[in-house]
Amino acid sequence: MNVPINKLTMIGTGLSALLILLAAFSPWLAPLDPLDQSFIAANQGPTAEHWFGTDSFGRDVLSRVLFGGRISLAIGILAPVLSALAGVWAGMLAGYLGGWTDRVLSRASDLLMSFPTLLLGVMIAAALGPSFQSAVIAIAVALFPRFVRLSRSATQVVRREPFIDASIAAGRGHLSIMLHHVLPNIAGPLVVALSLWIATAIRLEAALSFLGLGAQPPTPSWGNMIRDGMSDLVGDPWPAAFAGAAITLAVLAFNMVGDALRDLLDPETAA
Amino acid sequence: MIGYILRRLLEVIPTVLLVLTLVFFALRIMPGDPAIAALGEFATPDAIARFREKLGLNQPLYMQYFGFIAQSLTADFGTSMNNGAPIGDLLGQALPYTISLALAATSIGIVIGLPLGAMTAVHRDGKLDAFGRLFALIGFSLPDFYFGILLLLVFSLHLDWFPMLGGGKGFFDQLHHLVLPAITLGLVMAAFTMRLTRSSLLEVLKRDYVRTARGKGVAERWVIFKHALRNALIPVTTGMGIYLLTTLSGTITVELVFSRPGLGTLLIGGVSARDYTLVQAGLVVFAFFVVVVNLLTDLLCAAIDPRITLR
Amino acid sequence: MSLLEVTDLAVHLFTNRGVVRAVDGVSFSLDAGRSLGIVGESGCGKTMTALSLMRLIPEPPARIVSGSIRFDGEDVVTMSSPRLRALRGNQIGMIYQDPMTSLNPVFTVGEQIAEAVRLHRHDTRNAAWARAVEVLRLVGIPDPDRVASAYPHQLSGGMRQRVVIGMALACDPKLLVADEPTTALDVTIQAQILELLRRLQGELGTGIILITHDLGVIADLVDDVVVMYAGKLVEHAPVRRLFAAPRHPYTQGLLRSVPSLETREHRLLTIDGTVPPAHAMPNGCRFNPRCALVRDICHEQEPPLVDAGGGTQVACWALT
Repeated sequence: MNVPINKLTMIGTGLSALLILLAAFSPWLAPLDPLDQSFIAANQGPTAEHWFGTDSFGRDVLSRVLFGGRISLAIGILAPVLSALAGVWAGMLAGYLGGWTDRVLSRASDLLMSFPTLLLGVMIAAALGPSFQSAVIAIAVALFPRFVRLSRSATQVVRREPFIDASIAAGRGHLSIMLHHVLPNIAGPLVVALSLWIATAIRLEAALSFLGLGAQPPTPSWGNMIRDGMSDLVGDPWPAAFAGAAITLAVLAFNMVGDALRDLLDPETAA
Repeated sequence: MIGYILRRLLEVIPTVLLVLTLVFFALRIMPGDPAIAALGEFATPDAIARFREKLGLNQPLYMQYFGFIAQSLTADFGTSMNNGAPIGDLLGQALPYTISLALAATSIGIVIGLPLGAMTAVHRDGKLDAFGRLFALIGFSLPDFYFGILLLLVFSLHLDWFPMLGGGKGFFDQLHHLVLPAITLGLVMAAFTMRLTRSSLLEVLKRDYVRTARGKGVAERWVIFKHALRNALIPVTTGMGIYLLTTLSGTITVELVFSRPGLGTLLIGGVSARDYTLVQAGLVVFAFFVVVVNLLTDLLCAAIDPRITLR
Repeated sequence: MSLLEVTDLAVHLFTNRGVVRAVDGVSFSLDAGRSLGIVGESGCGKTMTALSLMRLIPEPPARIVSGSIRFDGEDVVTMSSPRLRALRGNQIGMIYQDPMTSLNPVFTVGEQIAEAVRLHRHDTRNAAWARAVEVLRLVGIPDPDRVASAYPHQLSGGMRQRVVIGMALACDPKLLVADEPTTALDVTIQAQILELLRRLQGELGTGIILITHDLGVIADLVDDVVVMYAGKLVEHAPVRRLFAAPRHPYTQGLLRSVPSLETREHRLLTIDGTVPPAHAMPNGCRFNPRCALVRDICHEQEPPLVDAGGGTQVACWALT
């Protein structure tokens, strides 16, 4: 089983890196300005000039997919990272300190956990009003309880190790123990979760901007390109098709990285 | 049993209260004036004042809050800020579309996912398992609304087998309209169910009591379908309960794809029109679903697993 | 004709780290109504041997690579699945090591016993249930009517092991295979379960194969003893003879490590060293790194099993 896992890791990591690079360098890579309209060239399928065709405003779809990747991947990576920063600390505090801190944090995250991420995201984005920032906040909050729960249970396991008590006895501060002893020991599963939840976040961002709750037009994101494309699916399905393919590819890539990392860390449960 | 259900339903109240509170205050910090949103940029100050008066928006915030909570708890959601229609009626019209979609998708998910998961576990590393792996990978990566669009393009637009848009009129037409959205969400759920069933069954097949069953002379088929599967279903049920909620929230995007006049369409319409009352009501209904599905999941688990006592 | 005749049985484990010869050329036989103990440390292949008797070994990684297991004249190794199923739980009953994990948590114990009865006797549901209650009474469970409707998690470890024994006996098997039936239990419960096995043996006249790592357990429960070391059979003797005059150095070591009141020895003697890892077995006699009587040939050739008088067979170069 070793060979296919390594292959998947390579493909997944390579694909993720490629997508991030394409998005990062889109201003130099994109053949045209993603906002340039041309009514003469509207609603074209793929041609030699426009590889992915044009949308109903005559904008180049390839350029929009590349630029859209900046927004979609930025939100998809930024939101889980922010969520992890907050959630991991909250979970570590809950798992390390126990008592009231634990009870309050666990109850709150259990309550949030009982809501599906998309529903939470929709609630928050709807409340904050549609924008780039509110999509980030909505996704970060939706993933927050998941990070809390994971780091809490991992911390509880580490907390029972004798070296923690030894450190306390040696007069080390709790904060320092959490930073130097607990965090490195729970980092493995958290990294796995982070890459799987980046995949989730990319999907969520796509869904939110598809619903009109993410980045606002004319700025392209993969989700709002599909939303735009829906208005004329009969005449020109290409913008929606290519944007959707980009989302699928990105989610697939990060899922593969996460799965491969999990198998590396925990060969017992490997498929 | 009945006592337990009642107690659990009582626990719904704090959850719904919390959601109501969050929804209320979250919507109040939303930018934009709902009166202007409803009446347009050029409404006279007089008209705006009358509008605010009518909806109680000029009352102090805490009055609005308690009024809102009291109304919500009696399932009286008031009228839409935009067109004055009673929200109860709007919800009543939308709900059947959403519930039928969620139920149909779940049925597809179970009917395809469970047997496929069991078969891939039994014939581990075989051809079917490889197919299952691919199916799961696609299911986990393809966003449901995009999958819906692809189905729409192929089966409605090009093959013309299914209607493009709307919810349909009359039973058979509605069923016809249900097929594509249900397959969209159902196949994604099937991928999830399949993976869950596979891993859970593989885990159970390693247990000692499976060997005990073989040692009694039970045929392999019954070892798997009676002794192992029943145990494997316990984690599957919990996972499916969680996933049912994901499917339910997936109806929001899929309804938009198929222009299905359900709860999601209503909710998103409310958001873009800044219709506070409508959005509040829609979110409360979703929150209620969450609580009910969680309760049903726990009841079902207790029915399968005798070690769980309902207390 | 003997009830069970195992000849040259070899079970190999095919792992990523190589092939492990878990059971390597083991032979023994058992007459109807007699009892045999298989003794050895954990990892010596005794459980694999026991599971092989009904072909219950986990395949993969394990596989019976050679030898035969004749039960009532029929070879279990080459038997068809339907024949095998008719044997399992019917002609041969099995008692497992850990009663906490060997019962299915989602069925009542009555259902689990009745299932075997219905499978093999084609009884009605009610008759099978009545038989389940009857065997629960037989294995000394108080209030068997009520216990039959209980789920495993509602019973204590000792009670569960009685249920497992009852399940094994439900179809009046000719042979009962007990794989470390008391290891997972408290000491007081162990004594009760052994007492139960002794009583059942007297009442039912079932052939018994008892697998254990504890020589003390089998002293007054079995007629003959097979001692296994690292997949090999090293000594085979009548139980009295084994205790009175153990021949193989390993058996002698095992016996010395059993605490005895009569010798008033305070220090428990144990065997030096440990069983070598399965994929790094020494050449020749597998016991040679731990043996006090080791000589050159022990490193070169495996010792054959030879008669040593008094019904004892032993595989040791020092004794031939």
